[in-house]
Amino acid sequence: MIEFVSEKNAIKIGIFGVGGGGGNIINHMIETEIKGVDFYSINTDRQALSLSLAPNKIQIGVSLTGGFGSGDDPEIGRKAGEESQEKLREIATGYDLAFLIACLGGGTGSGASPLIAKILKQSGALVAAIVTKPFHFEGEIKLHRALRSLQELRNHIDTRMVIANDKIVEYYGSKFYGEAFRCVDATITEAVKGVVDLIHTPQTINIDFADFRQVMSERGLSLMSVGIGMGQGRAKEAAVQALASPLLDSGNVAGAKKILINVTGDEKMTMKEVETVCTTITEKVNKKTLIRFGCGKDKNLRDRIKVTIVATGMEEKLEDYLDFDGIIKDLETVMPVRRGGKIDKNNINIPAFLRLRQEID
Amino acid sequence: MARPNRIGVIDIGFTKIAGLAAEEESPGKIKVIGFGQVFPEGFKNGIVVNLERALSTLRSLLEKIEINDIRFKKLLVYVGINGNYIRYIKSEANIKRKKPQEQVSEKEIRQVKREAQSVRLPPEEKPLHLVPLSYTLDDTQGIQTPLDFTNCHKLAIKALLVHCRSMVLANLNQLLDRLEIRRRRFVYQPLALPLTITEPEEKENGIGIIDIGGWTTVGIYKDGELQHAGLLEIGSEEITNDLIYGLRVKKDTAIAVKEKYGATKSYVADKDEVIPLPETASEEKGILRRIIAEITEIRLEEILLKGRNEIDTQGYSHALLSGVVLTGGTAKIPGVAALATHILGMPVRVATPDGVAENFKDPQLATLLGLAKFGLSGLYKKYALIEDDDLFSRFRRFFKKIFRLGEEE
Repeated sequence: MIEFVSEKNAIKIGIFGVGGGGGNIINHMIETEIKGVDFYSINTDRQALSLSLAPNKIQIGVSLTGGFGSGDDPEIGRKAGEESQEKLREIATGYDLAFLIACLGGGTGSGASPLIAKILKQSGALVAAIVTKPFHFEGEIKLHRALRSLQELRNHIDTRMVIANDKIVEYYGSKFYGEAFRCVDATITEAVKGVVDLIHTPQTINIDFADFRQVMSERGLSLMSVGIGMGQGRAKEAAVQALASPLLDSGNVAGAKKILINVTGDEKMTMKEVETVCTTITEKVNKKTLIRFGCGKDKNLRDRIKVTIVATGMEEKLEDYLDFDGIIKDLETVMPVRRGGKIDKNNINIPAFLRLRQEID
Repeated sequence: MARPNRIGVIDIGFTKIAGLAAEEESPGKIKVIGFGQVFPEGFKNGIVVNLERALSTLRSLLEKIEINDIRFKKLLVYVGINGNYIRYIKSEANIKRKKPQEQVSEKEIRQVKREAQSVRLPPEEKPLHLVPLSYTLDDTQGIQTPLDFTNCHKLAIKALLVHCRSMVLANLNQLLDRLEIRRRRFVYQPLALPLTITEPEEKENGIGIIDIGGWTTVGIYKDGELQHAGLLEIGSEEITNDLIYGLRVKKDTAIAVKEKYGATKSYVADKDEVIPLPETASEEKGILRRIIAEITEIRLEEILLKGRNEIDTQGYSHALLSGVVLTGGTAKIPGVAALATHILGMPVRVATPDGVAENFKDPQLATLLGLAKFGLSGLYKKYALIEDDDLFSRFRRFFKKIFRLGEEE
């Protein structure tokens, strides 16, 4: 048994928190004790790093910023990343799966994330970015920065989960200032933990890294979510909860090209319950969606059922960028990026704003 | 006969076909008496692609022009043409004068011109115009018109021979025949383009015209004459397409948005100005005007860069003393002159036709009105090909004139 587990652990997972926000989220993850992963906190700000719980603290742009942070300037964030490219390349090697976690809208997170994603991708990892968009009260400039960064990011990653902070707060209702951020952290942690457990824990109908990679190969937006149900009707409850996660909105799941469902329960979990979970979820998606199903036992669950969903290949919904009033405010939002293949810069039949506006390689 | 000279014009553009009947009110003033424009169905890129449709397109155009008892078909009609089927070559020729002491005669000038136009063209090509650039007498260059000069042994000419694919012209001829427009003259648009939008002096000093229509025409004029005309296969259509793509709207909407709100970035002062979008497939309700500007500007920039490239490769980057004039529908986009000044690095203005009634002062109509002026001021003769001068040809012309059969008046 021990041998078996260690074999599973051969899948190396790295979680990279970039910038202040990203750092906070992985602190939360470390507190929640996600096992079998390496944590990295990457920041320009020495002070923020010193407070980090991550075992690996990577300070970037030391000579550029003097360790005082990026001053909320994405340009500095980007340059800091470039300055420390060698160091980043070193830590990025050897991972099969990398989660890049950042809160976009600030300096380091928005500026350095695209570069770090690129380096991770080049090192051969499957890269999943989990990023948040700023609260609406943080202003238009921040939102613009976040979208810009996202636009760059999506060229270098396999899948991305974009979370609007506003949605989460809306979901949890009114909270104190600090608590609102806490909610964001908790939601992401829960999702990542679900996926990591899935990969690391062997079960009856197993889902492993290969499955995960297969699902992730469907690029675009993805959603990860966990739901837990208890007592009578626990199956239904777990499924509904997973679907109702603030990271998922049911309209989105409907458009998923691939979906991975994992059901874990105690020894008393019945086949009927497993079926209930699956039908509840598959009812929401369309018939063409590829469904990968996994099922396992976990004694620790005690009377509960846990459902993990990973859905990928969702169409990007324009309204995610519409800044809540239905007005397009950024050109990036109307620039779908084609998978693979370069745009021919001299082909005048392709809209000029697609060809000539690309500042990134 | 005190009746003023009246002519007809049909301008075959890339996104529209326009036509008018006009007469000269006073020198330099054009009085438009009938006007119409239609969507060029049956045409593509200035070429007839479907004879039947093209015919009905022209019919509906004539219906629009023929008000106030204008009998368009009876007029001498100037047909403006342009397209990638028209090209020019630089041609030089010279003759040795038999009697050097005598004055240079009309006949000798015709002779040297005929010499210049007798370039062997591929069989599918047909000469259209001979644009005389300058004459050289003995070794003295740059003579504008050598008529009546004496004491010279050699008469030489530098000219542009404009030629076109004869099939395309034959199709147009067939159309005009079927419309019973018997008297017609084809005019290469760049020859007429500057007439209502530039001063003669500017043409002397050197001026470029970038006419951004469905496609973009770049004309270079210096020493009073057309020196080069190039056609860029990019123009307003591309801007429209970009907006269709970027805004996810239908073509009509895109055109309306372009005409109403299209601008360059620096022109949009209010950063938060919102343009409502009609209901479309997606769910957006509106768009910031500066995004429309961004989409528009980047395409404009591309067009202008190509225009600059055209000017540069012809070697006129610093030779256009009077700068560049922008015209065509796209020149109406606010802020385009400033953008062009920046890109071209020379003075740029947007030109509106001069010497016409207020409602025709539209950059979009520069070519059409230029053609009218071209016809009214009798410029056609200047660029006309020289016909054979033997007795037989003269007879043929004479009869043609009597029975009004040919394309020449």
